[in-house]
Amino acid sequence: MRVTERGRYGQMIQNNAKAAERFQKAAGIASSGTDVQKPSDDPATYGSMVRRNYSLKIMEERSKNATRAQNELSVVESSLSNGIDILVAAKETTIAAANGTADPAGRKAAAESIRTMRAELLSIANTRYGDRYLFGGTQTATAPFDTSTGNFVGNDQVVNVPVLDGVAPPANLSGSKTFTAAGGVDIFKTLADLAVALDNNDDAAIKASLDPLTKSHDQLVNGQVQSGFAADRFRQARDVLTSTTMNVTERLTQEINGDPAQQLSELTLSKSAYERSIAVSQQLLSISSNWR
Amino acid sequence: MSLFSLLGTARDGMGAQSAALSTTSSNVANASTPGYTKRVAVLETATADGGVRYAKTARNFDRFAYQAVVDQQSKLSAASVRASALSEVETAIAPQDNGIGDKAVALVASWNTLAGSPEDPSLRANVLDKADQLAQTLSQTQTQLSAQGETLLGQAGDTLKQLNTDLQHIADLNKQIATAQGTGADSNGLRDMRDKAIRDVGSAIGAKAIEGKDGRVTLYAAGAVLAEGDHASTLSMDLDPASGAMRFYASGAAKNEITSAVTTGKLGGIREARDTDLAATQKNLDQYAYDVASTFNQIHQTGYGLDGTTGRPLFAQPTQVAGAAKLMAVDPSVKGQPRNVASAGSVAELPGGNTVALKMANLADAAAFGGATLADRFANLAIDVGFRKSNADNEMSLRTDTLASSEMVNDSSSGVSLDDEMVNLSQYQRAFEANSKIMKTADELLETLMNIV
Repeated sequence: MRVTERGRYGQMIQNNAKAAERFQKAAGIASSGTDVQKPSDDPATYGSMVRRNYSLKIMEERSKNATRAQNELSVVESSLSNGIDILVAAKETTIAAANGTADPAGRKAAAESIRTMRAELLSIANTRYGDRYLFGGTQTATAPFDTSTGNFVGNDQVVNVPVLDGVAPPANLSGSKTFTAAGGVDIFKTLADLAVALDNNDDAAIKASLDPLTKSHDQLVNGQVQSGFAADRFRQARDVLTSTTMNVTERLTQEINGDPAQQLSELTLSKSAYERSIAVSQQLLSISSNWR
Repeated sequence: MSLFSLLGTARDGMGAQSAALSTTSSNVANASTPGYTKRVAVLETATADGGVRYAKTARNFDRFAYQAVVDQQSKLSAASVRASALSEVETAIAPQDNGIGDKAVALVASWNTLAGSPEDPSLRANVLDKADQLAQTLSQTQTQLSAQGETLLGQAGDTLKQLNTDLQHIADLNKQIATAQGTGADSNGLRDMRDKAIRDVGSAIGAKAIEGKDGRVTLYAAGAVLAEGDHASTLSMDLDPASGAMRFYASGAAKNEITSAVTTGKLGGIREARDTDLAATQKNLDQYAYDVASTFNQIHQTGYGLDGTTGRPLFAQPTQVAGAAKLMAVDPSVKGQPRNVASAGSVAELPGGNTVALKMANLADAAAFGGATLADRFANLAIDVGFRKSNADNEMSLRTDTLASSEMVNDSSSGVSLDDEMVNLSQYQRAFEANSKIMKTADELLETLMNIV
């Protein structure tokens, strides 16, 4: 083919432009470490990237949810632990007062202790995490237990918190089942009745309160165990989320980041090709010396 | 043959070589001129005295090779304008950060967080903020795409103006070439100008030129005759009132619509980018916005705000798919009112109930948006644009190569080679010198004869 000046220079410009474009692309990929930055780079991989990034974001939020729920349930567990200690102390006080050697004055003092313990237990039943009352079901804005009567004014609705696809374990403990007759024994009434029996020096009533006290203790222990199990479910969910997040991130990285060695190799090759193209252009331009 | 005729032969020879040198000079001067076709001095033997005479300067023009260049140029122009337009569409739909997909996932994530603490006012405000950001991003993206449609429309208008100027130029050149050809004048320069104008027309809409015996070309493009003899058609456009698509017309003796045949050249590329690619993307975006608003609203309306009121939508419900993205907005009944975000499924659940928030959170994985998940819907939207852009890029790359190849073939016949011209220069120079030597020799012979006398 006959080679003309216009053809030669046109080809030269095009070759240089192609080499420059290849170098530019390789530099962009090597500096970002990402093969796919926009849909047209690889539409199918971009779609996969969108889905994985989406999953990662949702998992991040659900992991925060799981942490928060676990923390709340830990507070529940810790509060109930304090409640259990109070009931143990109440039982010890009652056993001491039930002894035949106990005099009425000593029983009145014991009655005061029991009332103080009841007030402390009511305070525990009205525990808050931030602005939320923990034992009120979905009635989280107001105290679930009347501080004088001990009556339950919350509800028993379960609050499920989403942590995995289609999995939302309960994140609250029923206040009524933990502290009232709905769970077997009305703990506040038991303590109130006990205080009255102690005040009245009613030996039979004092002795009769030991059994409800034991059941109250067991009821709180049961609540503590339930909250522990629930907290553990959120901990497990968080572990699953952490492991899945790592897995998804790794697959995402493999899909879009490519092989760093290959990227650097392409950068070197494209740089070399660009330099060669320019060198060839210089050679071609020097041919015009024939006209001098 | 007399000595005097020898002088005449040498004189004619010097004249012919001088004309050939002039042609070489012209070729060298125009070696890089766009549209210039290599000239060749045609010398022929003078029948009377066996000398040489300069007949004409011819163009080394291969119309088949040139037509291939015009064809490839029109295809490259179409691919180039389409790729450029799609590049902007792609950036609008899928920017590196803070795009529609990011905003949509942020909204679902905010419902997931709210489900954990439904009464938290800051989390309620967060849901509204994320909904507002998604709505604004959708609206802005659609506005950006519409603006791009307007830009393409403006480009089409400018291209048409230039095209009509080129067509009229070709008709004028037809007339001048026919006149020059009739009078035997040199029409090579005019032909170069006309071929360049034909290439410009090809770049705008595609072109096929057929030259008649009188030197005039008839120019065909988009299934119509755009220039014939001394007359040029005028191209015009308007918008289809129903679809908003561009319609093209060629007005010659009669006005006829040529829209469906405008498939190549810059206009073909603009038409495909605006009325196919952009239109499809805008439609997909509207459908996406409609489905997102409808799905979120359907659930939100079943829930109860902290004030015990139900039935409020999260987004202003679009009445139809068309225009849904542009009009996307948080519903006025909840905008700026975090307490009105419906998280609870009943009044009894308030304030800490999360039945509805949980349903919203579950939308993260549900195929509830027109039969697909939220992630799939955005991925499909972006992938569609990605494939279109990728195809346009590939087409542009292919046409860049094929045009270069056609240019090489065309240049090999009609382009100027300085190597050739250097040889020609020496050849004509030596021939001129030889003729001058003959003249000198004849002169000396005559002088000898004169001395004898």
